[in-house]
Amino acid sequence: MGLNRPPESAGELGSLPPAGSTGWEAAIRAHTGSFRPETLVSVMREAASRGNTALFECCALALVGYSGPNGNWVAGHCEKVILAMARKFGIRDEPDILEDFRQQCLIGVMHAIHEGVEKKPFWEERFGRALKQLCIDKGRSLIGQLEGFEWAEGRAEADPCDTAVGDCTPLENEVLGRILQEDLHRAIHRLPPRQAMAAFYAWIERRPVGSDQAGSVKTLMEISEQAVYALLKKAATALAADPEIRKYLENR
Amino acid sequence: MAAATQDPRSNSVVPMRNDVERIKQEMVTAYEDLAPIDIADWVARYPVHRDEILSFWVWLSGTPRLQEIHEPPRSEPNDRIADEAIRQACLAVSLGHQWLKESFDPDPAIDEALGVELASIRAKHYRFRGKASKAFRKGVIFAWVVQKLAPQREEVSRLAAQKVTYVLEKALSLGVFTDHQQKPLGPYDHRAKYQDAEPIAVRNGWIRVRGSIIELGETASGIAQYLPRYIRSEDLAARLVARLARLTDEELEVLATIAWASAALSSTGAPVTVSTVQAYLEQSSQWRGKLRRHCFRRAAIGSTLSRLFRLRLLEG
Repeated sequence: MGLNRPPESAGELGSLPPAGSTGWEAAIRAHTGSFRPETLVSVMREAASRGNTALFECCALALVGYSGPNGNWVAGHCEKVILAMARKFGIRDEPDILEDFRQQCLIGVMHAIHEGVEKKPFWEERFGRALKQLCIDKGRSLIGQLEGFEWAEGRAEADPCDTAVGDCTPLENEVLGRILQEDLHRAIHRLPPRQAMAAFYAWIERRPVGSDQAGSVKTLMEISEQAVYALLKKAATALAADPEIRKYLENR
Repeated sequence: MAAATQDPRSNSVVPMRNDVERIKQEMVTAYEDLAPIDIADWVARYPVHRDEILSFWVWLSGTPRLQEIHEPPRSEPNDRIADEAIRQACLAVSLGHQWLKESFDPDPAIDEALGVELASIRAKHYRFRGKASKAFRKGVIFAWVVQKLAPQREEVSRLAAQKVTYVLEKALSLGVFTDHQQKPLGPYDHRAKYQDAEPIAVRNGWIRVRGSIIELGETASGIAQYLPRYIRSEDLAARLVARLARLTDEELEVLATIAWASAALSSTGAPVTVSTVQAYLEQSSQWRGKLRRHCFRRAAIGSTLSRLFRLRLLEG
């Protein structure tokens, strides 16, 4: 299949001897540390298809990295991205959750590699971007499961409108403007998915809530204006109880 | 509001051939390339994936761009997480990539649909009206569970069979596996080993017992003549067991233990959350130690509760 590989990776792969030959394996082993991640993914897939576990492992170590004798992280193309995303999601300094996040991301990387180029071509096209997407999906799932359950959210929406239109808590009007966008965004991640969507588009992107224009929250989510306000009310209530947001309320 | 897109592509609806993974990758690409993203344009182009696109943007927006990431390296000897990921991936080279299990079920919709059917069958009144004793029915179903697990595992352990029968009882309300008790490795039915299920299944040649491993016996095919009368819905039960068969013994222990804890909490009217389940395990002298194990971390408890809710084995 025609892949849009980065030129450096295409060059690295093009310079290798014929796949499966002794020279091929020797060249790979000699250069794993300098290969681009897209090249490593391609070689790992080739090694897996040939049942060459030892070569697969050699490349996997170069891709993931490892802790050296002094405990310092050596090599690898995954760790920085995973940790940066963990920081963005507010779990960088929570060791247990961070460990789960790293585990899911790294297993996810290996899974994607084993799924092959037909199903997951972008890992050989732009590794960093594919990894970032994976981290986002794992983070959403992990934080969603820690903070509540999607089932609960689904049921909560079964009674969409116990709220009058426009009837939102003071959090929206009075405090929202003072909350650092970064803090608010992180707290929104901890909301159930539908509430998070409504809150993000209304309070971070500042979209109109109930208008009929294409970009309004109501139109985006394809729900009624009342249902949006119901979600926003629940979100405001949940945010008011969030430790990162509570500090703004206490400093009122 | 976000800036309007300068994307020259039209807003016409794009056919479904673009799967959601590709769409998300396009979004990441646009974001990394600093292209303005107006999410209204994206949902207009891919309306089928509206919710996923909207949710994904909530998380992608504001993330550091790859070229801006300057995360300091960690310093931690003996990194178990990376070692384990690589070890599993290497095993998958020889054993097939199904060996590489993801902590999260990649297709929760299957559990969700199964859960609806299970809840529906449980809602119907059921009382076994045949002559077979509960012990005999237990033997038949126990052996059948072993038969269903066997093709999907290297070995079927007693632990696996015990945990699966426990969950099966909760799922179908058979009135058969009702003797499980709180034991160190999770809910366990000692009568099944010594008094009914295993002895009866061995006597009939349906299973063989080798220590803690249960194997199929020479006349395992004989189970089929009894089973349909004892299991309410063989199809549903088989689908549930097939889902459970994908779990390791340890994951089955976690599932059954958390199912037990959650049921105990629900019975007192307490909310079932990660924190209350942790507290329940903490107050149990037999199960307190589990909290030190990786498989009973908060995230693992959370994902297990989600699975139980999806399967409608816990009512919210």
